[in-house]
Amino acid sequence: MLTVISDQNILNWIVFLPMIGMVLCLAAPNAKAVKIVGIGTTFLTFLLSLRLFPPFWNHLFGSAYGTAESIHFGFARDWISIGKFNIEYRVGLDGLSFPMVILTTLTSFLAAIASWNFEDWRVNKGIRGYFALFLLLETGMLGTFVALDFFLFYIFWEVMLLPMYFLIGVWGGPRKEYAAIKFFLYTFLGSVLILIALLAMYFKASDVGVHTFNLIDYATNPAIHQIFNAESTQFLRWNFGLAMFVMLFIGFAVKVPVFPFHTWLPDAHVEAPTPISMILAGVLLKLGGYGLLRICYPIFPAAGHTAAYALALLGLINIIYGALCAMAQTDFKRLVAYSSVSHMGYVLLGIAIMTDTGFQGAMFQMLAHGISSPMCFFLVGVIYDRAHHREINKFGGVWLSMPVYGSLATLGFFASLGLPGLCGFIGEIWVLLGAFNAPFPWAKPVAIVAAFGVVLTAGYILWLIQRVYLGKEKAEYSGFPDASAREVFVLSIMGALAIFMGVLPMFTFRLMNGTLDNIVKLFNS
Amino acid sequence: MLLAIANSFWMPDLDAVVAIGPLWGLAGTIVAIVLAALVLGRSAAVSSVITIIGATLTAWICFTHAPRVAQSAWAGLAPAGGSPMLLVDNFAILFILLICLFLACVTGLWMIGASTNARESAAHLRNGPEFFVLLVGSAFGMALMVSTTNLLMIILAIEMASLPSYAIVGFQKRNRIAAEASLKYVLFGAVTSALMAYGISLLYGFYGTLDVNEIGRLVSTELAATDTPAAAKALISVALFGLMAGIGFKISAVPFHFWCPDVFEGASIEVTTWLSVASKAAGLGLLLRIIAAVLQPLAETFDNPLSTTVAMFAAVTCTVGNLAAFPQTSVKRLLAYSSIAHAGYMLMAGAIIWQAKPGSDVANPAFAALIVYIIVYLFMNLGAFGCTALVYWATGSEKIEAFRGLGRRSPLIAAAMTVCLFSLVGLPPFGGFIAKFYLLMALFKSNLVWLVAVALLNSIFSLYFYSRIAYAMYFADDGKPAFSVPAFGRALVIAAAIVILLTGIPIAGGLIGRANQFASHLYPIAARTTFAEPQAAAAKDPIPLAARSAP
Repeated sequence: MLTVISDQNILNWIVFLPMIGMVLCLAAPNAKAVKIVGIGTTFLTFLLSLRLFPPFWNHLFGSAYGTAESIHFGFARDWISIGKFNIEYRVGLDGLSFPMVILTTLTSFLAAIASWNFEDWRVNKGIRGYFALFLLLETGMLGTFVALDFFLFYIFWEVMLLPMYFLIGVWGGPRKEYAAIKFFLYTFLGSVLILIALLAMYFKASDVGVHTFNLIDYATNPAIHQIFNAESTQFLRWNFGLAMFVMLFIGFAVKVPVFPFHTWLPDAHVEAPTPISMILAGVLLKLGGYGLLRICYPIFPAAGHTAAYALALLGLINIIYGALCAMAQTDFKRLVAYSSVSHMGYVLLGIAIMTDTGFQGAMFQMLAHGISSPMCFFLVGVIYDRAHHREINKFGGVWLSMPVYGSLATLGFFASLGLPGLCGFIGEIWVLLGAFNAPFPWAKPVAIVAAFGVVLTAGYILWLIQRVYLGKEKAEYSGFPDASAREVFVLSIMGALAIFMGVLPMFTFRLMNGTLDNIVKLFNS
Repeated sequence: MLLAIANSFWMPDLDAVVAIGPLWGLAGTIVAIVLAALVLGRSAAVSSVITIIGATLTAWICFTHAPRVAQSAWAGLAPAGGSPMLLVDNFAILFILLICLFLACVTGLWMIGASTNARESAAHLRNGPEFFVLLVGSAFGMALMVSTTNLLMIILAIEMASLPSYAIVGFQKRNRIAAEASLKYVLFGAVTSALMAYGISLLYGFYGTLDVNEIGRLVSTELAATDTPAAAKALISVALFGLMAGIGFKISAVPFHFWCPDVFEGASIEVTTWLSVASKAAGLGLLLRIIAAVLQPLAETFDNPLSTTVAMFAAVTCTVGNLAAFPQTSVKRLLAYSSIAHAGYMLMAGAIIWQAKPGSDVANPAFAALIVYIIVYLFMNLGAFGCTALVYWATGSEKIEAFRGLGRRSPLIAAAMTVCLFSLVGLPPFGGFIAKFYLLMALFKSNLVWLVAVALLNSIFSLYFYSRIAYAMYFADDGKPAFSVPAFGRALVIAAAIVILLTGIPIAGGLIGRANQFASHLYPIAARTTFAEPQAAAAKDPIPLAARSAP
C-alpha cells in the first residue's frame, strides 16, 4: 500500500479514490453495503488527505508564488498535446489549496455519515445513484482544488455540475426541480464566462510565445504577466486584464454567491437533502472564493486593483443584505442559507482589499464558514427529521426535550454568529482589521459599515435561538428523542473544530499564510 | 468526324478505377443485395447482413486507401486534362469511412427494431431488400457528394443521395405521417435542387467550366476587377446562392430547414437516425469543399465578406434550431431541431475554413475541429436516437412523457441517454465538450469572438431543453412498470455512451492529435499528384462578364 501511494501520486489517489468508490457503490449488493462503501470511501480519502500535512505544517511555502519548492505533491503529464498546443494534467498543492482539500475530504466524510438515515428521507429511492453521484461530486471538488492547469480546472469545475443537479433534483424537497434547474443554469452561465476567459487567456499568452494553460505560468511568467496586465492590451474593445477579471469574477461570483447572482442559493439549499446542503455550504461556495484567489488575483492584479472598490462594495452588500434577508426568514433552512450569503460577503471583502491580512481573513473565514455552516445545516436536518417541518415560529423549547442537541446547536450557531473564542469570530475580525488598514481611501468607511453586519448577524441568530430552542416546552416536541450517537459524532467533530479554530487560530493560519504572502508579493513586483 | 467523337470518349485507366475503390464497395453492396434477393429469395435478414458486410468491406477499403493518398494528394477519375469528376483524397476517405461506420450501426439498429416490434416488422421484413437497396443507395450518393468538386457530379451526387432518402422516409406506406413527411421532403428537395441546378447553369454559363476550384479563382478575379458592373456581381451572388441552397437543404441550414422536423418525426426511427448524421455529414463535407474552393481565392483579395455570410448562416441556423427545440414534446422532433442546431455549430467551422494557406503544412484548425466534431456528433446522435428507439419500441411512444421514470424503469438506458444529452449540450467531461471546445478555439483564434459568444449562448439555451428529457427520466416518475430492452440494443447505446466518455477525457488528446495530423495533410484539397497537371482550362481567359451581359 505504502509503495503504491507515493508523494508524487498521492493527489491522484485522493482525487480519484471517490471515483473508485463510485464504481463499488454501483456494484454493491444492498443499501447497507452502499452506505458502508460510501462512508468508507470518504473516510479513506480523508485519511489519505491527512498525509498531506507535513510540508504545510513545517511551513515550506517557498520564497515566491508557484516556485518548485512552494508546490508540493506535484504531478504533471501531457494530456492533450499537439505540437505547441498543450493541455496538461497538472496537479499540485500549496497553502491555498491544501486547507480546502482537507475541508473537502472532512466535509464529505461527515456528509456521508449524515446520509446514513437515507431510508427516512422523503425521497427514499435509488441509494446507489445517490452515493455514486455523491462520490463523483467529491472527485469534482477535490480535482478543482488541486488542478493547476486551467483546462483541467475547468473540466473538474464542470464535473461538479451534473452530480449536484441530480442530487438536488432527485433527492430534494417539494420544489426540487425548480431549484435544480436554477442552480444548473446559473452555474452554467457562470462557467461559460470562465470558458471564454480561458480561451482568451490562452491565445493572449500564445501571442508572447507561451502556449500553455498552466495557471502558475500565467501568474509568474514575466512576459505573460506583462501582456496580461498592460494598459494597451485589448480584448475586443476593452482592457484585456479587466475584461478577463470581470468574466472570471462573474463565473466565480455565481458560486460564492455574490449579490446579485445569489438567488439560486436559498432555493438550492432549501430543496437539497441535508448532506447535500452541507456539501453545498461547506465546499461548493468556497470554490468561488478559491477561484478568485487562485486565478483572478495572481494573474490580473492590476485589474483587481481597479475593481477593488466595486468588489468591496459587493461584499458589503452581501454582508448587510444577506443578514437582513436572514432576519426576515421564517424557514429555518432558508435562514441558514441567507446567513451563508452574509458570511461569504466577508470573504469577498477580505479578498477585495488585496492585503495579506485581508487574504488571510478571507481564507480563514472560508474555512470557518466551511465548519460552521455545514454544522448549522446538519442541526436543521436533525430537527427536520423529527418534526418534518422547518417553520421557525412553530418551534419552541426544543432545548428542554433535547438537551444534548440543544447545547450543540447553540455552539454551532454561536460559531456562525462569530462569538469570540469560536471560529467565525477570527475570520470576521481579521477581514475587518484588514479592511481598516487597507491602502484605499474608501476602506475605513466600508470596514465600519461591515462591522455593523456583525450586529445584524447576532440579531438574527439570537432571535433564532430564542424562537427555536428557548421558551416553554411545546407538547408536540416534548417526545422527541435526543440526538443519536451518529448525530452527536458529526456535530461534536465540527463543534470541536469550531472551538479549536477560534481559540488557536494560528494553527490554521500557519497552514496557508506563506502562500497568501507570496500572492501578495506578486502585486508589488 | 467519327474519330473526333471516338477521341472525345474517355476511358479511365486501371489506376483510377482502383483509386475510387470505396465507391465501388458501396455500389457493389447494392448489386449484392439485389442479386441475393434474386438468388436466395427476398429475405430481410440476408439483405441486412449483406449491408453490414458491405459497409465493413468499404470501410476496410478506405483504410487500405488512406496511405495511398496521404499527403495532400488525391486519386480518382478525371478526363484527360479535364477537371476531376471523382476524386478520392483523405477528406473523402474520412467521410466515406464515417458514413460506412454509421451505415453499419443503423443497420444494426434496424435489426434490433425488426426483432422487437412484431407489428411493424412484418412490413419491414417483407420489403427488406428494397429498403436496404435504398438505404445503401443513399449512402452511395453521400459518398459521391464528398468525393467530387465537379458541378455536374455534385448535382448527380445530391440527387443520388436524396431520391432514395425520400423513399425510405415514406417507406411505411400505411403510415400517413410518414407519407406526408416524404412528400414534404420531395417537394422541398425538388425546389432546392431546381435552385441549385439554376445556380450551376449560371456558373457554367459565366465561366465555361464545371470545376469548383477553377470557378473560385475566376469569381475572385471577376469580383476583384474594378470594372465589373454591380449587376454582374449580383448575378454571381445569385448563382452561388443557388448552389448553396442545394447543399443547405442537405444539412438543413436555416432557411432550408423546414423539412427537417417533419421528416424526422414521420420517418421510422432508423431512417431518422441515418438522416440526422449521414446526410448532414455528407452535406457538410461537400459544403466545406466548395467554401474552401470559393472562399480561399476570395480571401486573398477581399476582407472575407463571404466568410461573414457563412458565419451569419451558421449563427442563425444554430439559434433557430435551439430556440425551436424549446416547445417540442416529441423527442424525435426535439432531436431533429437539435440536429439543425448542431449543423449550425459545424457550419461555424465553414466560416474559417479558408484560412489555411494552400500547400502549407500548417494544420487547419477548422478542419481538425470539424473532424473531431463530426466523429463525436456521430456517436452522440447514435446514442440519443438509439435510446429513443429502444424506448419507442418498448412503450410505443416517442413523447417526452414516455421517458418518465426511465431512471428507475431502465437505468442503463437512462444513463446512456443522459450521457448523450449532456454531451450534446457540450458539458465536460463528455466528448461533446471537447468537440465544441476545439471548434471554439479555432473560431477564437480567427478573432470571431462574437461567433464564440453565439455558440456558448446557444449551449446555455440548449441545456434547458435537453435537460427536460433528463428531468422526465429522473425527476418525474409516473410509476409505470420497468421494461427490458433487447440486449443488443442496450449494448449499442452503451457503447455509444462509452465512446462519448472516452473522447471526453482519456482519448481526447489522441482524437484531436489524429484530426490535426489529418487536417494538415488535407491542403490543398484538390492538389493532384498522381495525375498530370491539368491543361489550361478552356475558359482560362473568360470573356469579361460585362461584355457578356451586354445585350
